[in-house]
Amino acid sequence: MKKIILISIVCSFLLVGCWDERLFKDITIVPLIAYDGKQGSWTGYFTHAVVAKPDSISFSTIQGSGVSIEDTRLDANRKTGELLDPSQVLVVLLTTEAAKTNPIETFDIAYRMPRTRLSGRLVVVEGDLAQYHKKTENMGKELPDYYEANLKTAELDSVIPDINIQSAARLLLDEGIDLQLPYMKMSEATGTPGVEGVALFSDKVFSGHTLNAKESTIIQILKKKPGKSAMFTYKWKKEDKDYPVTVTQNKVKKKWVITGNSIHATYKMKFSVNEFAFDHLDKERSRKELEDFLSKELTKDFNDVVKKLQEAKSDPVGFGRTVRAFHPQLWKKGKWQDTFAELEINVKVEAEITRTGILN
Amino acid sequence: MDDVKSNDSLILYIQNLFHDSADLIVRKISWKDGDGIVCFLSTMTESSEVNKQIEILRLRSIAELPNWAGTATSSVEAFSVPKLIKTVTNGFVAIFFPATNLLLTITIPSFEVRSTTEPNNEIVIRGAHEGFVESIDKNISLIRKHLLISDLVVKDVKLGEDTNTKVTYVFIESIADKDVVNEVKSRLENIDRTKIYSIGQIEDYLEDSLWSPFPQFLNTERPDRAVANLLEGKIVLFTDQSPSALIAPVNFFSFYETPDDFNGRVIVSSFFRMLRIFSFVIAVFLPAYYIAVVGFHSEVLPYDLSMKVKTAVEFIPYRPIVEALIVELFIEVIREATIRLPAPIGPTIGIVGGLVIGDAIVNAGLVSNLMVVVVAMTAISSFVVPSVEMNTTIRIIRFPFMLAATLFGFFGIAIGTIILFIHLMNRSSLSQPYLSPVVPFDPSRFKNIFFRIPYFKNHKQQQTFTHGTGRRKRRGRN
Repeated sequence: MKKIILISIVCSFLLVGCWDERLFKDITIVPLIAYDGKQGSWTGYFTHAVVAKPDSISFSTIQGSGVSIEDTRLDANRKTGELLDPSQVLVVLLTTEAAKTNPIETFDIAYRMPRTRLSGRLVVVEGDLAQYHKKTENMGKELPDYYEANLKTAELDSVIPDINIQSAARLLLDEGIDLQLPYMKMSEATGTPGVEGVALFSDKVFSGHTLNAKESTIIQILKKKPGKSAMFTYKWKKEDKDYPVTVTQNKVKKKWVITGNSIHATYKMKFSVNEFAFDHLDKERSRKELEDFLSKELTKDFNDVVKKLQEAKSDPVGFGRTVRAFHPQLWKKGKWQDTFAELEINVKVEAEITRTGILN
Repeated sequence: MDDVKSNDSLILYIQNLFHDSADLIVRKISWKDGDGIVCFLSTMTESSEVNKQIEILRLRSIAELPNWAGTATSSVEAFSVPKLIKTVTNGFVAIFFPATNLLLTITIPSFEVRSTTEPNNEIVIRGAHEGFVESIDKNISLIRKHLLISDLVVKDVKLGEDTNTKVTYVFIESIADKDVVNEVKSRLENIDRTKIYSIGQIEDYLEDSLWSPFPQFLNTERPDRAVANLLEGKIVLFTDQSPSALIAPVNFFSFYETPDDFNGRVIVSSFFRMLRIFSFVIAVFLPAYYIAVVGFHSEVLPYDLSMKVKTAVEFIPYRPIVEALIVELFIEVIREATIRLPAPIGPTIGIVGGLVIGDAIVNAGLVSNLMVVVVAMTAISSFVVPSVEMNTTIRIIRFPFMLAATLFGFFGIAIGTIILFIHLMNRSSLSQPYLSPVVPFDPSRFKNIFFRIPYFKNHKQQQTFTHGTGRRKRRGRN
C-alpha cells in the first residue's frame, strides 16, 4: 500500500505543470504587428516567422479581424499553422485612425498579460496598412528588422523619442504631458517606409497633427531628452553666397519662467560645428556672427514648433508637469490641453559655439 | 636431542599455522643460550637485511648488554601464537626462543612502494608535484616534512578483525577543535565491521548524512593540500595501503579551492576562484534553464536570439527534456568509457565520440545544435571543480533540475534551488555547518569564497566554522 501511494505521488509529478507548457517549436514569433480600425472593430496584420526548412527563416503576413486586438489575433491564428505569439513583438504599427482610440484601452491585453514584450515600439503610419507589409529590395533586411533599425537610427538622431509600449502608458496616464509617437510614411520614390517625424497626441488620442523630422528634433530638445546627436542645418548668407552650416547640439540648459498666462522659456545651447565652409571660426567676430545667426534662426523655429503644438492642443514637452507642480492656479483653470493652447509661450534660444572641429 | 626434536616440531607447527605458504621462511638459528627459530615472510622482508640485523643482535647478546634486544628496529616480549602471527603478517621478522619463551621482533619490512608521483586526478600548474602513495608511513612522512612541529599529532586506530587495517588521523593539536577530534575518534571506534580495506568504507561510516549527494569529506592525494587544510584546523585521515586522504570538517567551498590558488598571484587566483563558483552555477542550472526557456518562457529571449533558437528547435522530433537527456547521457557514456579505455586509444575514442557522433546527431536532426552547445558547456563546466567527488555530485544534481524545469519551467528551477539550499544548509561535516561562511554568515571569511586574500593581511586563525560554537553545543543549549 505504502509503495502504491509513493508511486502515485511520484507519477503525479509527471502529470502536473504541463498545462502552462508552450513549446517554442510549436509557437511562431510575431515581431511586427499592424492594427487598423476603431473601438469595436479591429483589423490586425501579423507578420510572423516561418521556418520552412532548417536554418532558413522568412516572414509572412496574416490578417485577422475582430472586436479587440486580441480577437484579431485569435482570428488570424485560425489561418496559421503555429500559435501566433506576440511576446517578441518589435514594432506595432497603428493607422492614423487606429491611433484615435486611446492606446491604453486598445492595448489592454498587452499591459494585462505578463508575456507581452513592453519594450516594443509603437508607431503611427500614414495611409493604407497593406503597403507597409511589402518587403522591398532596398531594405536589405527582413521586414521587422528593417522597421526596428530604421526607428533606432531615427531615435539616435533625436528625431523620435525613446518611447515604447510601457512608457507610452506612463505618458498617457500623466495629465501634465502628452504622448508623441514616431510617425512613418511611405516614401514615394523608393517605396519603402521611413520615419517622417512624430505624431502628436492630445488628451490620450491622436490629434491628427504631425511634425516633420526637424520639428520633431526640436521637441526632443525642448524636452531636454535628445538622442545621441541632434543636428541642425541652416543656410548662412554672406557676400551673396550661401554657406550651409550644420551644428550638433552638445549641451542644453533650459529655464522656464511661468506666470499667470504666459511661459517664457530660455534654452542655452552649446553647439559644435560640423560643417561651415565659410570658415574663420577662430576669429571672435565671425564666431559671434554665427552664434547670433543660429540664435535667431533657432528661436524662430522653436517658436513655430510651439505654435504647432498649441494648434494640436498637445503638450509632449511636459510644460504641464511643471505647471501642475508649481502653479496650481494655472493648472486648475481647466483641462491642461485647453489651457496650454491658450497660453502665451515664448521660446528664446541662445546659441554658443564651443567646438569648431579640427580645422580651427 | 629432545631439544632438537621439539624445535623441529615447532617449525612444523609454525608452517602449519601459515598453511605451508611458499614464501614463509622458518629456520633454526643457534643463539647464545639455545636455539632460536627465525620466522618471516620472504615476500615482505628484505632477506639480506635480516641476516645483518640478526648478527647485530647476536653480538649484543654475547656482549651481555642489559637490554640487548631493544634497539631502534627490534623489541622483545613474551611469546604467544597470535603475537607471532601478527608479527609475521605485518612483514616483521620474528625470532622465537623456546628456551626462554621470548619473542624477538625485528622491524625491517620491505614493501614495494610507488614513488611519489603527482596524482593524475589533481594536477596543478604551480606547486609541489608530489602525491601520496600506498604506504601510510611514507604519507605521514610527506606531511611531517612540511610541518616541522611537535604539535602535529598522529593517532592510529586498528579497524576490522579480518583485515586489521590501520586508520590514522592526523591533526595539529594547538589549532584543531577538540570536539571535532573527539568526534572523529569516537566515530572511528564505533565502526564494527570485520573487513575494512579502503578509505571509501571509512568515509561511509564517518559521514554525517550518507544519503546526501554532497561529499562531506575532501578526498585528496596531494600532501600540500593536506598540509594547508591541517593548518586550518582540519583533520586528515589515512588508511594504510591507500593514497587518498580524507579531510574534514570541510565546507562546500573547500571543494572549490586548489593549491594553485595559494601559489598563484592574488588577482589571477581570485579570478579563477570566481570562475569556478560561476562554473558551478553553469554546470547545475544551464541545461535546466535552456529546457525551461524552450518549453515555457520563450518570451525571455531577445528577439535576435529567439530567431536563432527558433530555427534550431523547429525540426527536432523530441521534447526538450528527451533531447537533453539524449545528449547528457551520451556525454556521460563517453566520459565513463574514456576512464576505462587504455591510454593510447582514449583520446581517439573521445574525438570519435565527441566530434563525429556529436556532429552526426545534429545533422540527423535528433537534437538541436543549441542543445549540444548547452550540454557541452555544462559538461566542461562540471570538470572545472578541482575535486573529483564534487564533480560527480554536480553532474548528478543537474538531472533533478532538468526534470523540475521540464515540469514547471522557471518555477520548477526556483523550487529546486530552494530545496538545494535548504539541503545544503542542513548538511554538516563532522557536525560543522556545511555551507559555512554563508550560513551561518561570517563576513570575514565570506570574501574568501570569491577572492584569494593576500597573505600579508592578518588572517584570523580558523578553528571551527561557527565562531567557536559547534552545532552540537548550540543544540545542547537550546
